[in-house]
Amino acid sequence: MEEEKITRETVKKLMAIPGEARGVTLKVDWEFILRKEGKEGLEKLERKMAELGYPLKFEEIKTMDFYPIGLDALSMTVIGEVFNYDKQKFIEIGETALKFSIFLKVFLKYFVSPKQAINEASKMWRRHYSVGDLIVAEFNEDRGYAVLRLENFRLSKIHCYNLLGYFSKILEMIVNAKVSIEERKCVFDGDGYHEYFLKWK
Amino acid sequence: MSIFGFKRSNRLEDKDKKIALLLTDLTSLEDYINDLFNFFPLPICFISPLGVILEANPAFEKTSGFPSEEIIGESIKRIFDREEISSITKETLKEGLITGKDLSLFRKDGDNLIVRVFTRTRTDENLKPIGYFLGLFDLSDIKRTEDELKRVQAALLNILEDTEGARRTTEEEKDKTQAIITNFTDGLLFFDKNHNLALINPKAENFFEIDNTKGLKEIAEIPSFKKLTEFLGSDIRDIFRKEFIMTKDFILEVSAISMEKDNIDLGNLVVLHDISREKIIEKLKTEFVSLAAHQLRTPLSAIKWSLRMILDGDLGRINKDQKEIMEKTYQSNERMITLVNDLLNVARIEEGKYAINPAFIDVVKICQSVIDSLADGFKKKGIEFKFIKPSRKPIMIFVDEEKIRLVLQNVLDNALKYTAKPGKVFLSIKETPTSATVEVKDTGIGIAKNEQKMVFSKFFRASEAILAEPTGSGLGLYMAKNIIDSHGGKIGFKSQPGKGTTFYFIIKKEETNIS
Repeated sequence: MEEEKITRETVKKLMAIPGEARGVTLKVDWEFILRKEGKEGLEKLERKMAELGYPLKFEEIKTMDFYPIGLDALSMTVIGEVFNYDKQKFIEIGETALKFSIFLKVFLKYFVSPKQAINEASKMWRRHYSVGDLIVAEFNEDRGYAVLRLENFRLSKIHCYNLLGYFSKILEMIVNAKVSIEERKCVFDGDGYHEYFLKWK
Repeated sequence: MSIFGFKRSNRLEDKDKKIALLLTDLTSLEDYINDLFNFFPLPICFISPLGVILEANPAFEKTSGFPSEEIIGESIKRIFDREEISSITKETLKEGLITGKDLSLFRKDGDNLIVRVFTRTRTDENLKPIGYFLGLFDLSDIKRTEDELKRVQAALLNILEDTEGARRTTEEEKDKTQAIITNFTDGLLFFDKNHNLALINPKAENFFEIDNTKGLKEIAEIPSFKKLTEFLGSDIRDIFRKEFIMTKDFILEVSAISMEKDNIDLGNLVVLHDISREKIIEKLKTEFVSLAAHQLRTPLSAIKWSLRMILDGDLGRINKDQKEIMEKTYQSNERMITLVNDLLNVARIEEGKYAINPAFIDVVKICQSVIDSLADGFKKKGIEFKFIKPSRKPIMIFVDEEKIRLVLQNVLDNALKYTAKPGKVFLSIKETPTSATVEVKDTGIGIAKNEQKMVFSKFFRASEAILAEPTGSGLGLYMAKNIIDSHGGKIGFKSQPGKGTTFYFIIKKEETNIS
């Protein structure tokens, strides 16, 4: 049934998205599956990917390596299909991603202060993806809010949810406070870019 | 480089090869770091300058009880005491490291752990701190052991204090006991469980004329002391107020008591009481009584025969009133003679001059003879008397007939005196292969419980007995006991006030050494 939903056409379309993503973006999502769904769940995911022509193994994913960005999009789509995950679950994957990410160790030096982290946001994005530009449109530490703009990036709506979790969690680590996030603009809603509004106390 | 069919352009191929090489090395390095981080048995985490946990190894997860997904990104204050960790963070960022500080760690399950924390900052390329590593040791077990040791130490100190207190108390008690022993007016000896002399007080040393330079073993060899140990017996039997004649004029009253605690034999305490003075006074009294009795007996006998002659009319006829007065005078004189005789007997007993001349005699005959002399008395008083003999054959005992007769006479006379009409008196003889028991049972006034222990004392008369019979010397049973004791026999009684008394004495049949 799941196979019927993700068609060869869908796979082809996703894999045709230009750009590359670091292995870590895949690894953290699969790490989440391993923790939440267990080894069986992970095997299910691996089987499904193989069935679709991409026999990716969790152990073989190299976090530092570059993978087609379409593979990241396909992986997300398969996860959604296989485990019937909703928006909230993808936000959770995004929130958790940072915790399993080797890149956290790389970015440690940017977590010294909110200002420094915001200044380095674009660089941090580029460390993950070869496409898309992350711009800090607004940052007001005193009033506790920030506006992030993501341009030239169109993967899937699932990915938008994932970024909600990821951005909010990374900002929580930076400001050491609970952060609420909202995607105010989205390319899949007809906007020219994604815009995220983050608020904290 | 190719992943799932994606190929780089040829002109970038060399660069890609180098990057691929670097990525391989980086991946190996990452694996190594991960393996090391995961293996490390000590809990480690990395904390941002803002106090956010950015990394935690499995050991940290285990110690804190929080899985990494719950703890990473959280404030370190969630796990540690707020004030303590703030201070640690401040000090670490300032000093660069902390080498061991004890903190409270709040586990997810609510338990508190005491941990020792070590920190070291991590810096960026400009040497600016970008956070710090925090490693810790769980001190709970150590603390528990430490607390336990402290408790044990405290308990031991308490025990030591108690022991010291007990030692002081024991020392004080020992001093007191020593003072009592030293200043005791009686001589005290203590023999250990092996019957060796272990203690002698100054008074006892004085008795044996021992100077205090002599050791206990030497004392035990002194002839006068050896005489005492022979008197006590090799097993030092318990004795109570037994006379021990050291010399003619030096007499000790000896009591020996077995000392036991928790059924453990500790030894024997011997108390030596000097009764020489009492003995001399007693002897003088006895001599006086003996002399006075002797001096009284002759005139009393003269009075007796004179009165008898008057009463028999040998000196002329007397009228009824005169006879009545003379009769009373005669009876009074008779009582006086009896008293004098008793006093003489007592004096002889106490002077050791009351010689026992034993021979094999039929006790039935003695009893019958005494009964015959008192039969009229029972009849006159209206008391039923019965003599219960065991068999027709004679029961031979080795006694001084005259003395045993005196005993029986005293006992039967008491039964007659203190049994009112229509009472009963029974005399019975019981026989065993080795002894004969003579028993006199009456239904008389009995002896009060509190007076029973005095019955064989010299001059003692029970209060009920005085009321029933004002005359009496209180010497009869005293003599009886001395006589029976001299025969190596036993005399005793059972009595219930108002119901009657049963006196008995047991005499051995065979020939014995009679004192």
